[in-house]
Amino acid sequence: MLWRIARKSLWHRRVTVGLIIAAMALAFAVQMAVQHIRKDVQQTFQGTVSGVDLIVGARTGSTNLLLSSLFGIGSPVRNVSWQAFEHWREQKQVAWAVPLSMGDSHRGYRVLATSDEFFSRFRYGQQRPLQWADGQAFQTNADVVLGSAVAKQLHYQMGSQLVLSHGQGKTSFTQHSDHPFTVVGILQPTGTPVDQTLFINLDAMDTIHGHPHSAGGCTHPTEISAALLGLKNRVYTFILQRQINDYNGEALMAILPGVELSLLWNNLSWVENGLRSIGMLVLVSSLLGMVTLLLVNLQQRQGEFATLRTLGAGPWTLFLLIEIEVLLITLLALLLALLLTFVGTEVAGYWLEQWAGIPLPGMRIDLALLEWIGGLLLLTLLIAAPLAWRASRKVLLKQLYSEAH
Amino acid sequence: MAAIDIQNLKFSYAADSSQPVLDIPSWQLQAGQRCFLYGRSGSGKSTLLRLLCGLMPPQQGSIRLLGEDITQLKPARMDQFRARNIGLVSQQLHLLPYLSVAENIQLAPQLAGLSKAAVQASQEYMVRLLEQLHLGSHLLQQPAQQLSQGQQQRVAIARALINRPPLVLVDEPTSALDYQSADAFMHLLLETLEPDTTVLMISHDQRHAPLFDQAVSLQQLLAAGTDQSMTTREAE
Repeated sequence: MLWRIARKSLWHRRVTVGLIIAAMALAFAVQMAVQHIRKDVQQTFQGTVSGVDLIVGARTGSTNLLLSSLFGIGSPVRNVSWQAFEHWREQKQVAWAVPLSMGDSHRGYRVLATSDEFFSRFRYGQQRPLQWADGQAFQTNADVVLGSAVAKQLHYQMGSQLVLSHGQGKTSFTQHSDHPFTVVGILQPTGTPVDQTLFINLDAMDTIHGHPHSAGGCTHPTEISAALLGLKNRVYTFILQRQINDYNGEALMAILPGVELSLLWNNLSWVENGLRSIGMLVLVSSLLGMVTLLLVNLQQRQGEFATLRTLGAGPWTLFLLIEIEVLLITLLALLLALLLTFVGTEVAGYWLEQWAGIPLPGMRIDLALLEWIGGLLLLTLLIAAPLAWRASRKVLLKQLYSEAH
Repeated sequence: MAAIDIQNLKFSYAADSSQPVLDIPSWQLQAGQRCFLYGRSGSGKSTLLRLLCGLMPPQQGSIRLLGEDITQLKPARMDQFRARNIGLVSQQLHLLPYLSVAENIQLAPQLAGLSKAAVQASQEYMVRLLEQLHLGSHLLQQPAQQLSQGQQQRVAIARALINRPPLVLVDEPTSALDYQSADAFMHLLLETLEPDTTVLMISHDQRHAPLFDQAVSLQQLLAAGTDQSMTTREAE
C-alpha cells in the first residue's frame, strides 16, 4: 500500500520530481563517468607495458626516461652506445633485450626503430602480447609497421607508401622523401602509445639518415636511444638495476617500468583528486536539491499527512512513506544516470577513438559500481531520515496547533 | 455504557497549564446517542475533538472511549484504536488527490491493519456506502482530484464509515458550504450512519442542532464544570 501511495504521489508531483531526478541523475552520471574514466585511464596508464623488467637509457631523470622510451614524450638526453647495450644483453641474468631508437616522426606520430623481437617480447595490460590486425613484422629497410591509431587516423592500409620526417614535431621541414616506406603490418589496438607509433628496423633508421650500418658490413647501429630488458628471473631485477646504475663504462640508468608508472600516476593524483572533488561537489549540490524539495513538499503535504495520521497511520508509517519516496526518486535518478553514463561513454569512446585513437572501454556493471550504487542509496536515505522522522512526528501537531489558534 | 467518558480533563498548548484551553471536570455521552456540541470559534471545540481522537495527550484527566482509557494507550496502540473505532469527518481531512476514489476509501481498512478478509469484505460495503451517498460505482476508479467538492466530501464520509466505527466524530464539515448544501450534506451524513453509532458533532453554527438527540454548549460545560443535565437539552 505504501509503495502504491509513494508511486502515485511522485507521479502526481511529476514535474518537480522529474526536475530533481534529472538534476540528481546528472550528478550521479558525472560521478560515475569520473570514476569510470579515472579507473580506465589508470588501468590503461599502468598497463602501458608489462613483462619488461627494466628500461635502460642514458643517465637522466627516471620520469624522463620513462616518458621518452614508452610514451615518446620528450627526448633522451643522450644515446646509449651499442657496446653498452651488448654488454648488458650478454649478462647471464638477461633473457632478452630489445633496442629502441627514436627521433623521427610521421605527421605527428613518433617513429620507433627497433628489432623484430619487439613484437614478440612487448607486453601490455595483463601480459597481453601484441597482435597483428594485418601483415607481419618488417623484413627490409623499406618496411614499416603501423600502430592501429596511425593506420586508422591516416587511412593507411597494407601496401600504402609513406615518407618519414626528421625530428619529432608535428611539422617538419626535413622529409626523408628519398626513402619511402611501405606498410607491411598493422597492429591491433592496445590502448597504449604503441597504437600511435610507426615501427621500422634499426638499419632503416640509419639508412634514412644517410649512413646505413649494413652497407659497411656492420650488423648493428653505433648507438640507440634506450633498451627494454627481460630477465630470466625477477629476483635479479634490483641487483641488475644497481649494477647498471653503477656501471663505469657509461653513464646509464635502469628503471623498473611498473614502479615508475605507479610513481608517475601518484604524481598525477591531483588530477584524480580534482576530478573526484568536482564529482563530489556536484553530488552534494544535487543531494541538497533533493533535501530542499523534500522540505518544501513536506510543508505542502501537511494536510495529506494529517489525513493519514487520523486514519491510523503512525509516525513510523509516515516515516516509511517518505523514505520510500526518497528511495524511488534516488533509484530513478540512478537508472537515468546509468543510462546516461552507458550511452555517454559509448559515444565519448567512439569519438575519442576516432579523434585521438584512444580507446575508452564502455561502462561495465561490476562489484565496485554496485557497491557505489548501494552506498549512494544508503546515503540518500540517511540524509532524508532526520527530515522524514521530524515530519512524521511533528507535522500533524503543527497543523493542529495552527488550526486551533 | 458511556461511549465517551471524560473525567477531570485539562489541556493547554502552553507549557504553563495554569490557563488551560480545556478544563472539563466530567462529561459522558452514552453509546448510540447523537450529540451536537456547539461553541464560538476558538473556544476549544476542535482541540477537544483531537483529544478524543488521541492525536494529542491531555496534561491531566482521563478520556474513556468505548470503555478504553485512551490516555493510557501507547501511541501505536492508540493509532490502531482510532483507526478501528473512530470515524472522523472533517472539512480539513482531504482526500489524497492522486489516489482513486476506491483507493482513498480503502486506506481506512488498510491503515487499520484489518485482515485481508476484512479488507475484501469492506470493498462490498464501500459500493453500498457510495450508493447511499448518491455516488455511482463508476466513480470508483476516478482520481479524487477530478471530483467536485461535494463529491469529495461524500467520499470522505464513506472513508470515515468504511470500518463501521462505533464512534463518529464530526468537525464542522459544512462551514465552507452554503445553507442548502450544508443541510443536504448533514441529512446525507446522518442517514448513512448505522442506527447504533454514537455521533459527536462540533460546530459554531447551531442550525443543525435539531438533527441530533442532544445539544451541548462547550462554554457552559467548561464554565460550570457541571454535569451533563445542565448543559444538554432534548432535541426538538
